[in-house]
Amino acid sequence: MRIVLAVVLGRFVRAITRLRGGGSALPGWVALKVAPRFLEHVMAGVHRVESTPVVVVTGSNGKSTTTGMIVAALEANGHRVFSNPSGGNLPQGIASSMLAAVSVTGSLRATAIVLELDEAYGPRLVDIIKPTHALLLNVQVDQLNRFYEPERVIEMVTSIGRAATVVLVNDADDNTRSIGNELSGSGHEVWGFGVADSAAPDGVYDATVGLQNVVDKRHPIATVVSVSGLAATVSVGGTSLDISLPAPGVHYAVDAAAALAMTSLVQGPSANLGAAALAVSSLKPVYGRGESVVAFGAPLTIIMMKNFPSLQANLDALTHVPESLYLAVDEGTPDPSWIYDIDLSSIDHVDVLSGTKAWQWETRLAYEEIEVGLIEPDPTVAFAAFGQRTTTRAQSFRTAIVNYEQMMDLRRELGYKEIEGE
Amino acid sequence: MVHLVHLFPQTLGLFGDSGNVLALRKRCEWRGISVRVTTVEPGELIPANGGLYLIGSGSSSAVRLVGEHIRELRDALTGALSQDASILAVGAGMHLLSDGIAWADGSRTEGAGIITGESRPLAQRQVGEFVGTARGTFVAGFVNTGHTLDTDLPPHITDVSFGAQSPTGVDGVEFGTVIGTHSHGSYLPMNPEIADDLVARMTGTPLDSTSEFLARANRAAEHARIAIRERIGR
Repeated sequence: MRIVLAVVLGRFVRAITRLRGGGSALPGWVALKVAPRFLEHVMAGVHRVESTPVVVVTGSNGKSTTTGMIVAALEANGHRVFSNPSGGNLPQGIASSMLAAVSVTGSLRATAIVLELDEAYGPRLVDIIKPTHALLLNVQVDQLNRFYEPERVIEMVTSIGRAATVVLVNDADDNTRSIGNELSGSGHEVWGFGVADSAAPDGVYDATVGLQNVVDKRHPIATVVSVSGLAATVSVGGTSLDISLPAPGVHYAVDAAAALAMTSLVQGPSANLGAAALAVSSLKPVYGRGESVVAFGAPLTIIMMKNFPSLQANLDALTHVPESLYLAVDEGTPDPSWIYDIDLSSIDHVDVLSGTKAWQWETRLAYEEIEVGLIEPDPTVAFAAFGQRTTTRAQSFRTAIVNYEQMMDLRRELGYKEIEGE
Repeated sequence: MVHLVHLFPQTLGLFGDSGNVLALRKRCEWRGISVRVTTVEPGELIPANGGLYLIGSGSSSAVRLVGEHIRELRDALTGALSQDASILAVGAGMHLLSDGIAWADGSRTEGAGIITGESRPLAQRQVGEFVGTARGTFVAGFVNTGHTLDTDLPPHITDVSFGAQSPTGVDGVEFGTVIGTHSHGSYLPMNPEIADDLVARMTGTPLDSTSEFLARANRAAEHARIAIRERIGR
């Protein structure tokens, strides 16, 4: 009865928040308040069908993109997949997405489950989710104000992997490779994927924590062979697959390799990898990550400044120096000290600099002798000025580098009504 | 010529510590002072002829890794200090230069013994923006530390405040030609007076500050500090 009430009330809140364009976690929060064991109830129904694969995806970067790719690949292989759309990786976010997919009695209609898990909440959630497969993408320097040091993230990611029977790790990242070695020593079935050195000359920006136990790379299921712009070639079990990436960059190719490797593990010898590659290639960028939106009547590419590895990988992937560049960072990035590690050689000026951290960026840019046109901490004023001051000539598009919170504000301001997690 | 020795940037560089080296290098170059930067990783020979040695912040396993080479570090820095060199030690780097680092599990990493004091784990980690006073000037930055340093040495920063509600305190150490602080990463870029003090010590002459590049960097740093002060309500 509680479950029925949770579903009905949660859906009611969902309908209202969708009308208002509000936050996506609220319906799930309401459902969990009404029925605290809502997630357990839904997952217990899933576990009753033994053949249903339950895949979890975690790591510092690429969770949303890779989760979307696995969903597309499994759907192309005939599955009806339940997943939590981008960003909804906390308990209330997962509950929110379940509300849309369950019957009134809380039964989930799906033949495969693919869930993106937050590193910190994941270790507790896996007790409920009971994954059959875990994908450990990477451990990079991220949100140190929240995680303090990468060692803690390594522990979290390890315990998420430990909950699954089959574990797929990124062997190009020293940290996940080391976790794979540890888990294979404790009876898990561990597989690897990776990237050829020639495809990632600058490496994969894994966190350096002085790990001592990095040893063998497994024979990889999937390897990124080459990347050029949006075109990547991934080799899976000796078959070469051409992929069109959602946005340029080696990191997106690594996500694609991970998704194809997971598809191969879930489907076994019957996997249709050609169909999977085609499905992955048809994906658009995930919400705000390399996404192109329309601003001032012309395309604007949004590059998210989440942390050092993701911003550096996105800058590495730029094929031209941005002709019109907007940069805005606020308190969603409490400590941007890592901007001093960023190689800024792919930009030659910033047109408008904004957000509460604008002057910290101006300090960084001053030391790099990179010109800044206007510094205006108020993003609304700043973005309007950006439109007036810039043209779209050279690349025929403008570029914005923003942190997550500024990305959300920017999309809202540009009239993109759908919210992350819907 | 100014010779900067950046100790262990790969191992101890968790919080953008390269920014301190960048600030010193550019502030020299903008004044026409030639600069040499030498980087050293654990196990490599540390040059004896540096003017300023910088050691930065890192995670607990990085501290343990550097701890395996602590004798070489102690010998090199003791020798350099006797030649009147300076040291800027940030975060984990400062703790490594103490007498030793105690860990929550009861183990201990021996320190270089340059800074008299013991490092011990905090019951609650200290994370956030702060403002304070160092060498008579208004400084600001960000701290993210799980350890504190028990020492009788004078602090580098006084009147340290993390917010209107929290009591003021002190941070780091300063004695002779050694400065230690928990203010990581962008400390010198955001606090150029401290950077210039360090440069002036090495050159031994008054600094020319007429460069437009210096003016831009100073103005940006001042606004960045003021923004922090306004955010934390001090």
